[in-house]
Amino acid sequence: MFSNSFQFLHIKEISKEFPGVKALDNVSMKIKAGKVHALMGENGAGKSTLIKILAGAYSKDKGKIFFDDNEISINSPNDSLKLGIKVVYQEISLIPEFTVGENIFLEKFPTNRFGILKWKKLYKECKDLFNKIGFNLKVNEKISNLSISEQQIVEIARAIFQKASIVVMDEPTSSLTPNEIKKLFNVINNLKKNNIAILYITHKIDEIFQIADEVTVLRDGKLISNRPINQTSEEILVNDMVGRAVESSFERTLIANKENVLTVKNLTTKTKLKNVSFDLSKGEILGFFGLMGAGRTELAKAIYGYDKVSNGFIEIEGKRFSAFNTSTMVKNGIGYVTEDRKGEGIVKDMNLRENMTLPSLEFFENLFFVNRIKEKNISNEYIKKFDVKTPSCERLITLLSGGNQQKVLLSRWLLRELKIIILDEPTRGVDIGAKTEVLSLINDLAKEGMSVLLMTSEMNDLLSLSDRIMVMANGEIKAEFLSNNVTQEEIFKASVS
Amino acid sequence: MIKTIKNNETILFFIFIILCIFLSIYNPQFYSIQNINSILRSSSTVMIVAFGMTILLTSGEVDLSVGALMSFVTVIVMDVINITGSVVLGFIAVFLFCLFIGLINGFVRTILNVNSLIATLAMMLILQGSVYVYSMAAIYNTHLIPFFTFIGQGFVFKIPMPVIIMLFILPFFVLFLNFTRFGRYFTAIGSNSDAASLSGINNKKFKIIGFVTTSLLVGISGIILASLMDTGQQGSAKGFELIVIAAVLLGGTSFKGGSGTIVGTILGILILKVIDNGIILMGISQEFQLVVPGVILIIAVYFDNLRKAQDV
Repeated sequence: MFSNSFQFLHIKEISKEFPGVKALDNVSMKIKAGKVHALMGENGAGKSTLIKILAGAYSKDKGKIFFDDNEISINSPNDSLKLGIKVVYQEISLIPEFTVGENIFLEKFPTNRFGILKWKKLYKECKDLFNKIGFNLKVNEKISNLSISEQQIVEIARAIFQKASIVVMDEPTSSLTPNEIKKLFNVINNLKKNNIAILYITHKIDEIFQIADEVTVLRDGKLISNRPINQTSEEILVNDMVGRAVESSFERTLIANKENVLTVKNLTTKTKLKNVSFDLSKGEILGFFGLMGAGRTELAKAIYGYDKVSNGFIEIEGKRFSAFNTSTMVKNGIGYVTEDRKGEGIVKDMNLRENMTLPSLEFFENLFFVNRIKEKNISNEYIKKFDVKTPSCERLITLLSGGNQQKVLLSRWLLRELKIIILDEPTRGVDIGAKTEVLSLINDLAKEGMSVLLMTSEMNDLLSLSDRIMVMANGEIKAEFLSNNVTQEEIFKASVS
Repeated sequence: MIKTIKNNETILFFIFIILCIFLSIYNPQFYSIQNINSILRSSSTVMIVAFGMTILLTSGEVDLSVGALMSFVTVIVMDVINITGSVVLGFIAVFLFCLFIGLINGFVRTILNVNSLIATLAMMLILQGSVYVYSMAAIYNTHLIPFFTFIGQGFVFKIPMPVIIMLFILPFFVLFLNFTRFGRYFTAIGSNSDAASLSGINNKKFKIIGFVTTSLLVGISGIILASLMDTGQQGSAKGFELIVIAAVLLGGTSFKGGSGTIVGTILGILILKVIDNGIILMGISQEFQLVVPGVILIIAVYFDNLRKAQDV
C-alpha cells in the first residue's frame, strides 16, 4: 500500500500570471518524502495558486516539476492523482450518505467475478488502512455522522488508499478543536513514518513548530524563505510573511471630534459572529483585519441587515435596531460595498446608469416615473468626477473593467446622504492605478464627515487609512489598536492568536 | 447572427406579419372582422395574465397556479352572482380570493423559501382539487344579468370588450416595467437578487407584490372567461399557465430573470394565437394546437440561452 520510492518532489522556478496579477513569480521548493513541509503566507501570497497547479486545476506559465530527477507534467486533476499527489481541501469532498468504507473504496470497490460487492473484504481492508495511519474509526459509519476532523482523516485515508505519495493539506486545522488537532497530528506523524511527503498550508505559526520539518514562506507570489524548522523562529516567520515597512501615502489626522455615529453591541449571528462590540465616530475610518474565515464579511453583512442577527443590537446616532433588513439600514444612512463585486455587486443585465442609481432611485422619481434625464446627468457627473473609463453612461456594466465597476459601486452610495459606509475589500481586483484613486476617495469621504468601516486584507492600505484597527479571528474581535502606534507584526500576531 | 437577435421584438414583429400575410393568402377568411375579433378576444385573457407573469419572470419567479386559479375564479364568480344577484359582490369575492392565493404564493416563496416552481405547482394541485370541494358540478348562469354577459361577449365600437379591458390595463404595465422605480427593482431582483438586496431593496416585499399582482390579473381574466362561457367550470382554464408562460418566454422575457418586455409578451401571444387560428383555418388536426406551442417553447428558450451566453 505504501509503495513510495521517490526522495523528493522538486518544484523549480514556477510562475503563474493572471490578468493584472503575478500570482507566482519564480517559486522553487523541494518537498521531501517522509517530511512535513509547511507553506506559509498572507492571503493572496500565492499559496492557493501553487496548490492548484499541483492539483492540476491551473496550468503553470513557466517552470518545471520533478519527481527526483524525472520531469513530470500535470495537465489535469487526473494527471495529478495518477502521479500520487492528493490535495485535501478545506471543503470536504466525500459523499455524506455513504459509509466511511464506501467513500474510501469509491473508485475501486472490491467485487467478485459477478460484479457483486465484497463487503467483508472492503471493511477489513479499510480497518487495516486505519490501523496503519493510527486512527480508529467505525468503518461502516455514515460520513454525515462524523465530525469535520474525522471527515478530514477519511479524506487522508482515501488519499493513502489511492497510493498518494504526496498529501497536500490546505488549512487542515482551521475548523478543528485542540483535541482534534492532536489526533490529526498523530495521523500526520504516521504518514511520515510511511515515507509520505506532506505539504502543509497554514496561517497558524504555533502549529508549524509542532509538526513541520521545513518552512517555505511566500509573499506577493514571490519565494521569500526556505528554512529547516530549527533555523527559524516565530519572529523570523512573521517578518518574512509581512515584509517591507509601510509606506504611508495619506495624511490622516485623528479626529478630535468624538461624536458617536454607530454603536455595535454584542452582535452575534448563528453562523459566525460572537459578541462583537465597538463604537464608530463621525468621520472616523475604522479598519478591520482578519485572515480568511475571521468573520469580517459576516460582520459587515450583519450590521447591514443582510445576515440575521441572533443576539445583540446596533445603534445609529442613538436609534436602536435589533432586527432589521438592508432596506431599513439604507434608509438610516448605511451603505455597503461588497467584496464580491461580480456576485453581489453589479447587476449584470443593467447598464452603468441603472447600476449607479439603484440604491437611490427614489430621488430620481417625478411623481410616478423615473426621470432618466436627471439620472443621466448625475451619472455623467460621477463618471467625470471619478474618471470612470466608459464611452457613455448607457454602457452595459459588464463591459467595464473591474476598477471602473468598483468606482460605479462606490458612486452608488455617494448619491445618498450616507452616515456610514461599509467597504469590504474595496481594492480587490482593482488595478494599481485605480487602486490609489479608490483609496484617496475613501480618505476624502472621511474628511467630509462620513464614517467608514474598512474591511481589508491589504495591510498597507489598512495602516495608512485607518484611525483605529480591529483585529478579528473566529468571529470575535481579538484586539484593538490605534493605527499610529502599531506595527504590521503586532496586527498579524493578533490575527493568528 | 446572434447579435441581430438582440432586438427580439423587431424579429417577433416580422414573424407575426409574415404569418398574417401567409394565412391571408392561404385563406382570405383570416382577415375577416369576425376572425380577427375572435383572435383578439381569445388573446386578451392570455395577455392580461401574461402582464403579471412577465413581471414575475423578470424578477426570477414563476407562477404555475394561474390556470387552476382561473378555473376556480369562473366557478366562484358565477356562483356568488347566482346567489347574491350582485355582480359587484361576485367581483369582490373573486378579488379577495385571488388576493389570498397570491399572498400565500408569495409567503410560501419568500418566508418558507420554497422555490416558486414547486410552491406554485403545489398551489396548482391544491386549487385543482379544492375547486371540486367547492362544487362538484359546473355552475350555470342562472342570474342572467346582461352586464355580466357583456363583459366577455359584448362590443364597444365593434371592438370586443375583453380587448378593451386588456387595452385599459396594458399601459400600466408597459409604463411600470420600463419607467418606474419599482419596475427597475423587479429587473434588478431577477438579474442579481443579492446585489439588489445589498442595494437596500426589500426583495421579499417585491416578490410578494409580483405574486399578488399576477393573481389579481387572473381574477380579471377569469371573470372574462366565465362571461364568455356563460358557465363556471372546474377545468375551464386547464393548461392555461403553460400557454401564458410559453408566450412570455417567446416574447423574450428570460426564464432566469433580469430582463422582461411587455411588448414582447404581446407579440408572443399574438404569434401563438395566430398559429392556433391558422391550424384551424388550414384544416390541420386540432391536436397540433398543443404540439406547436410546445415546439415553439423549446425554440424560444434556446434563443434565450443564446442571448444569455453572449453576455458572459
